[in-house]
Amino acid sequence: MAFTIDVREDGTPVRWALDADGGATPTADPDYQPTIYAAARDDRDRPLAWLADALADDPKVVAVERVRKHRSLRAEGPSPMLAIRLDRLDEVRQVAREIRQREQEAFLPGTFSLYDVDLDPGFRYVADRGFDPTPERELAVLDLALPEPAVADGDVGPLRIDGDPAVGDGSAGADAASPAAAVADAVETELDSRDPDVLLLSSGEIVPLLAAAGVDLGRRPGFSRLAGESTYVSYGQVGHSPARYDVPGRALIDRSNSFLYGHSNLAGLLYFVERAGKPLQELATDSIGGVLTAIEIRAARRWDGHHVADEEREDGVPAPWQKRQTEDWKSLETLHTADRGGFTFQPEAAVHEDVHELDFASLYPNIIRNYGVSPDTVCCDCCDSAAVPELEYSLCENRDAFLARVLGPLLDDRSDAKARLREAGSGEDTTDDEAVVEAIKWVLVSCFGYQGYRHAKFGRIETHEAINAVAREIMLTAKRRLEDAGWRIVHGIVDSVWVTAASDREQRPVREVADEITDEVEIRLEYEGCFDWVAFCPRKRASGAALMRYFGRWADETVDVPDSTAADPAAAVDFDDRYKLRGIEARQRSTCEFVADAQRDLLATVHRERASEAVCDRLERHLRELRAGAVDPADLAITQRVTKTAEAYEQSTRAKAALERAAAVGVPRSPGQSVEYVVVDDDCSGPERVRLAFESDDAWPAGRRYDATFYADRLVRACESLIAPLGWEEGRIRSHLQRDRDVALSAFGE
Amino acid sequence: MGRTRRTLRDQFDAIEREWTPFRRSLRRHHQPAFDRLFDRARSHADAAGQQNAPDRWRAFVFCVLLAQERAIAEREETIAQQRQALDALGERVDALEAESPGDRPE
Repeated sequence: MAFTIDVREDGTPVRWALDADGGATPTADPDYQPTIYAAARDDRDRPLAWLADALADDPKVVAVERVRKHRSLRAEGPSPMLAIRLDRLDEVRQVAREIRQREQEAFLPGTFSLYDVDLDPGFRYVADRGFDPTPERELAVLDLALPEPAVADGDVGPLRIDGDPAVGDGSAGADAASPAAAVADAVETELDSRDPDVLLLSSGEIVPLLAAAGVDLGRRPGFSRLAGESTYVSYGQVGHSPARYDVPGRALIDRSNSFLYGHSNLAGLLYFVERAGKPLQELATDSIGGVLTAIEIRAARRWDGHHVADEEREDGVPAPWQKRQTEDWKSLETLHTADRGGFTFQPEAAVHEDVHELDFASLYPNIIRNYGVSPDTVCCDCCDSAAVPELEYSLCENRDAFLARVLGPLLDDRSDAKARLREAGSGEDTTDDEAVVEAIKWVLVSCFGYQGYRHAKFGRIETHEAINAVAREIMLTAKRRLEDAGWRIVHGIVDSVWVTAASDREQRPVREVADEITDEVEIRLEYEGCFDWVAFCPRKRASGAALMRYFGRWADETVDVPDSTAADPAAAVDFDDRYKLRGIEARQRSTCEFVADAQRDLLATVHRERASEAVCDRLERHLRELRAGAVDPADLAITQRVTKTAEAYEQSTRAKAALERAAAVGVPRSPGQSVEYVVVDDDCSGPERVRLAFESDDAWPAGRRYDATFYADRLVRACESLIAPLGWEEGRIRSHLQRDRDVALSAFGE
Repeated sequence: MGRTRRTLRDQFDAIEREWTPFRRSLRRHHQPAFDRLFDRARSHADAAGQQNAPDRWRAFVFCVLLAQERAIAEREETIAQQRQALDALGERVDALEAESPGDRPE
């Protein structure tokens, strides 16, 4: 009914409905008036009356009415509020800011709570008007990609349409005035013939670049810039968000700025368009927490004080802005008890054989759902249940558990999609189901952490604490049951547990025990599989085992080796299916392909030989290749996300050198963006130390030479990760190599 | 995220860092014992974390005691086994001596 919404310059929303046979039809809605809500502290009447008065002669405000709505999920009943109806969709934040300023004239700060302020305009519009943004036919998609150096140069020449060059190298564009004009023609042709509904762009900057070449990507002329680029910090990581653009009548998806698209695909996005009731373009730019918030905002509008109703309610909970909810008062003792994460065992840094892995399925979301842990239920005033272990918080039995109602459908849809995947034949195309499973997984991941985030609209730290407390209890229950059944705990992290047979005991079948645990804790404990062996790595530069660095080899029965390949079963199974790696170099984003490949190869040697000497001998083969200069530099590219500007680095690090290099060759990088480089001379500082992956031959030292010593060091460290559980540290590897080198010095070509 | 308190494992690491001057002043051949103390403490940090005692030193000392208790028990068991083996050997020697009293070596 309204798959994408434009906001015209006069603030009027235009909704685009898809036509059944392709194309789309716009309808302007000049009568639409966005509304924000204001409540006063302690529901006092005087401030509301004052505010209504103060807004009376504001030309941006059309009308002010008295309404009654719930202030929060925990509110006893509805409170008096002002519904402030505005003329223009693009003035909402302006009005809200002005109310905050006026507040200071007459009242203490925080006297007014404002609601429904920071909603994306298209989302607000469809939610207020009751339109469903879910497309009712298949969307036509046009994929445009431009390599980054070309974006930086403002050159549309190398543009690719659906993966193919827009203009061939030869004569295709010969009759056009310039390469840019030829590309423009090619894009126009595609737009005319296909009339796409969705534009999938490698970068939003393609919009202004093509506009400059005379191409309107929208269904009407023109484009607008919704936001400039910016750098932000989230979960302690520096991120970068590129500028956002909008064109009339089509939904833009910027691949470089859509987490969900990157981890799923269009089907994953469309699933959440339907669940959240948020138009595709806005949903694509949302973070996973943003998607969850959208679903919550919809559900909160249906909240009647105790339950999520089927329809939106006049007195539902509007979305709070600048939430000022503080943490509940609690004693130091409670704080000390509550402020903890899940339970993690201390593993022994060694190789363990015949180990079974068991995982709780979506532990945190299922705790929320099955135990009813939610902002509205935790520490309620009406129940005296002390239901949360250790913390003795109550869990309300008279309310719906809002968060459980929000997550329930996602959990069900995910397990349905997983069931379909399991049943699908080998020839079936399961891409969409896989994408939906992935997309939901990520949003579920956010649901727990988000409870502790102080800006989360419907989050609450006590919910976060309670979920953790229940999770610890569940892990200890599982531990007791498994040990009772004759199993020894090798390791356990929050929702996963590894067990092996206790040598002096009889065991009951591990799957049977898992089922019993499932029944007791009411959350499925899934049997993940059996490892031939699994190794937990010692910590680097400190004693004891690392908690999250391990690797193991799945047993034949787990990877399901086909009978026909019995002669050579190892060759038949994909490496990624055969081995599970966590935290070691081959899994790290910053490891270059060459080192990652070598580590995987060494891992196979670890399995075959189970002796450090043999692994070191194999390592030498890779070192020889490296030192001979035989490695393709593309395989040595290191991808690193930079966190500061080049000037802000005090040490001369490689990241700093790469940033300086990027600036020097005209592709400057902002904090939060990634840079991809090859180290050519680690002894240098400054831009000569590295080369960027895409630089041409003449920018490199002769023969695209790289710094073999630097990469050899990386390789040795990757090897150390694998044989450290066998008791070998780096020094011993180096002396082993040295010994061999004395024997066969010439082998290294030095 | 909600959690701001350090885990007990991290607190043990912090103690180890704070006590670096102590370790530096130890004779080299005494330093491994110092390191072992922290290995022992860490081996039960998971359970101590669940106990969540307000005093990290109490947790540290209890973990070390427990690990040493385990080490003592293991050693006692080894000693008992070796004593048994020794007794069995002694009995065999006695039996052999009883069989051939005249063949005693000079």
